[in-house]
Amino acid sequence: MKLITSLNHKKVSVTIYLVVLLFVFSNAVAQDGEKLFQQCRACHTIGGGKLLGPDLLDVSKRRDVSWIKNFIKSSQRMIKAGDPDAVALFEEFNKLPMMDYNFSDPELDALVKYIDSFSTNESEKENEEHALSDSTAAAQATEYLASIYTEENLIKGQELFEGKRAFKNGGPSCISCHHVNSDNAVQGGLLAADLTKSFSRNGGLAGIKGIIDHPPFPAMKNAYEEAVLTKDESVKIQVYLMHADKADVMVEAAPTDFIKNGVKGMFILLVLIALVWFKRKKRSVNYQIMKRQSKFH
Amino acid sequence: MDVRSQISMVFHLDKCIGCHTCSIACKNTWTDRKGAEYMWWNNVETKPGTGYPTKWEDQSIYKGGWEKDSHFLKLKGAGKVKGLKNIFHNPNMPEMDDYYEPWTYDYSKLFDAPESKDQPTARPVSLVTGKPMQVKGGPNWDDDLSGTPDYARQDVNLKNITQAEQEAMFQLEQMTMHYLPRICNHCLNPSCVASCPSGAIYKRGEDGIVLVNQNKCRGWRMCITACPYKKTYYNWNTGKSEKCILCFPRLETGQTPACMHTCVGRIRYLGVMLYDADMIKTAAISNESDLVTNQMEIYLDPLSPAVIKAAKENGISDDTLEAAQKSPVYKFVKEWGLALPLHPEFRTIPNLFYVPPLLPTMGKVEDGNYHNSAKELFGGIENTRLPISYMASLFSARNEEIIKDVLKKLMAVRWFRRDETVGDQNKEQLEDILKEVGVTREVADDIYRLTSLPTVKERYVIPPAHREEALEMIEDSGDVKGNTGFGFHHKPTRGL
Repeated sequence: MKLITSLNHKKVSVTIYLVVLLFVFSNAVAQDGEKLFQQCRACHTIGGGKLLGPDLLDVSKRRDVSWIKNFIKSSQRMIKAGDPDAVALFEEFNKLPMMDYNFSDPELDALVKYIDSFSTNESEKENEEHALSDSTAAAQATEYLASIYTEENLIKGQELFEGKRAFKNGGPSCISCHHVNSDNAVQGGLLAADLTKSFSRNGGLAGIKGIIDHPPFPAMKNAYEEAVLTKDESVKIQVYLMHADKADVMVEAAPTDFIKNGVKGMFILLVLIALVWFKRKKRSVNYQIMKRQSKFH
Repeated sequence: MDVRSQISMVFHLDKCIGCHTCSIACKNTWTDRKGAEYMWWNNVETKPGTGYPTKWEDQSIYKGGWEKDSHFLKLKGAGKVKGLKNIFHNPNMPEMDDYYEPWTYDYSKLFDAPESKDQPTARPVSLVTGKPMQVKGGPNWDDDLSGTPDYARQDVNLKNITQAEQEAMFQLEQMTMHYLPRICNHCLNPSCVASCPSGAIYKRGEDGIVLVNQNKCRGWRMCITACPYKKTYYNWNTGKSEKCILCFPRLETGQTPACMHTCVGRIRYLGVMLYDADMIKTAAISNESDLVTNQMEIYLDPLSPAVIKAAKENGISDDTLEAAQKSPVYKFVKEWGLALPLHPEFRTIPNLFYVPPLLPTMGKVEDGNYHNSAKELFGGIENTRLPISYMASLFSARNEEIIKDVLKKLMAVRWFRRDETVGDQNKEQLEDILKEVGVTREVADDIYRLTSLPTVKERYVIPPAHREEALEMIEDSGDVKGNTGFGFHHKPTRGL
């Protein structure tokens, strides 16, 4: 009996240990999933609508879990292999390729689990939000846009972009890696994508916002991990990029004019040189004498 | 009056035989070095001819010397703006082919060549590149009219004479020419000095010799362009410019310059001229026809008490004054008015004067007898084989009256000597002739003696340089008295 009791004690303690372990572990996994999802946030929401990529709410109900895992690992491989769903998705989202994420299986599990955790918890709330009529949403969006699309934000946004004004948390200015075609902006860096058309390419403000707030690109992520942009700064940059996309003046006008004027200028210069130095001494005074006298000249 | 002394020269062209001994003496003394092979500080040209460097007289090519602008004088091819414009490439500067590419011969081949059917030859080798080369020209390729139409017919001075005169000249081109030996003119208004951006060229105070300070020269080569006589040269080996130094180390020790010392025809005279530095400006900006006359005004009479007083105030030593009073140059240039500067239109006021050659009149052989076209004595001067206008283009900035005057004087001295030695001339006509040119029998005799019978001491009157005084400015010679100059470096060995 004593033995049994002790055995029971053992069983209980092991169970408690296991439960605690499980709890800790599952909690850890859940947290892991949330942490991992930070990298997805730039392009995806869970129940927040489309950004660059689709809303991931209830994704595991729409797709097979293994399909999701493969897609995360390498979406492009699936598209090349001709998976119809993957191709359809690629077409739907402006042929914007999703990065490959080299997550381990447990990590992928955690990620899917994290996404799934929303579908149960937040579906109701989500439904409520969906209940809002489209017109209201549109009106809200316009109102929001009007509130942020101001002259001041635009100017400050450009200053922030060009690094004339420092980011509050010390992040590097956008221009060190990115370029934007704009009348009054200097040539930007060529290390990363040209952001002239980023507004339309990334599906509007929300897309840009996602990238700025949660950079999915490794270099950008590293750069702003410690030096997060404030919400205000992020908005200003968004406004500036939106404006740059609309304006985009240099693309049509500049290059042809530049070449034309260059050719004209060159021609004028050549004529001028020919006129100014027409009479200058071009060869030795002896040239004619030597030429007549020597067959070697 | 700002009296200064200048070592000046007279070259008597009637006496030059074109032997180039002067050139060789100078070459052996000074320019037989790497980088200086192509330089001829002294060279002898044949006129008509293109000269060395080719067509040096044509300032539309080389842009040397001064030109008059509305206010004053400006350098034709140098100066701040022009220098800056041509800082990377100066097309007005003579290039190597305008001089010539110096060469030697591979003489060792004559001895070392292996046995073969052909004679061994010594190939020409460039002294610049060290590689075999094709000789295309030399510094005196136009010598004695050269036998080709390439040189004499391209003489720059021909543009100043009429077509008819040119034709007459070249009918006789196999017979008519004269030589023109040239060295640095040590000008009173030197354009090389004015053009130097480094301030390396200077005119010595005591004797007016123009020198290039080799330590200050930065090789800008503006002087090469600016000198209208093309008498500064660029040494490509040292990267500095060099020029005739009038053998100043020889002058300072009382010796004559090498070119003069060796002169076979004894054509060269050297002596001190006193000049008024205040008058350089007015002489340099005068009209072309007055250039020679106004230049003569600069030179002062060394016997005039006022000049002597002013000279002494300026620190000119008694020895120099004495030399100036005996100067043969003063006699030829000022007293007798026989010697003229070369190309005064360059406005540098050169101090080398030439007695123009009295060439024979044109004539022809008929029935075995020679007939010349001269009807009377001075008629012959108008008909010399080289036209007066050609001489005027060389020596008087196209003022023909000056040339006629000089030639008449020279002719008068000859007729005077004919009267002295042969006595077959009409005495009254001779008196008229001498009166017309303003020469007395005594002066005519002086001219004859200094032209034909001068001693070395009469031809070269070199003032003592007084280097001991120059030394005393640097150190007190009393301090070293008894310390240097006594005793032996090596003990003399005695006996056999």
